[in-house]
Amino acid sequence: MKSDDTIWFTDPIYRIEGDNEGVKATSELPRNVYRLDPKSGQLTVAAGDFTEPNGLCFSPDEKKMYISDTANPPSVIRVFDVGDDGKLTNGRIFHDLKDTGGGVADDMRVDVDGNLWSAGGWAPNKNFNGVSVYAPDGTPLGRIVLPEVAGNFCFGGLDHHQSTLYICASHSLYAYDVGTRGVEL
Amino acid sequence: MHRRGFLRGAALTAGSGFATAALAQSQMPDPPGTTPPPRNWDDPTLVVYPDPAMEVFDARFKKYTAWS
Repeated sequence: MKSDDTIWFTDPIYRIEGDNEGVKATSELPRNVYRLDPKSGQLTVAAGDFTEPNGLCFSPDEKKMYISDTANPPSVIRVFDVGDDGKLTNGRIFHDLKDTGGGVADDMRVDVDGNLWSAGGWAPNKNFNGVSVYAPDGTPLGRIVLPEVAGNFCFGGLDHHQSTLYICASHSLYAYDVGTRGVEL
Repeated sequence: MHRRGFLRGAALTAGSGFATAALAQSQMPDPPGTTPPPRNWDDPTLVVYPDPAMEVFDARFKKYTAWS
């Protein structure tokens, strides 16, 4: 969610093509990034040139949006400028995962310093499984390596400290204290 | 088939009803108030939760791992 209460989400077609989640069917819509305005009920396409849009999050100032494309290939994290009109423009590659071991990036969050934290895995190199961290300019900073694929995570903790990572992996839920805070939604 | 019925049938078929009952009893939790047997916490083979495995690509990442 954005601070103006609009809801942004991606619509990949992974699961509708199988029986493991929901009802198997043919996808009816392109793989877009959508913006829903709950005040007007208007749903618009914020960006549409994706192969499999997946995780997404805003930068702390909400002027940029990070979105992972997880077709593998391409397996990249893209960044866009967020316009006042709700459109995403100036899309460019923030990080290409083949440069750091491959796999795909799933859920993403930002911390108060503007670093991007991204869960992921599914790479030939098992050491990719976990949560990777990138500086605001896209430089890989480090990785919390897990013994299994990490799909989703969030910053949490008591009293809004937001400095504990709760990571939902294939078979386990992990909690790690980190030296920063996540940006509250 | 009920799970208990299945287990009972399997035990009778194998002719090991007594052993099965003994095994089940050994797997039951201790009753409340029971003092567990002493453990050797110095045992080098003792499995504990591992520390997080951190890969640092850039020195700026170190401060984020300080609390893990």
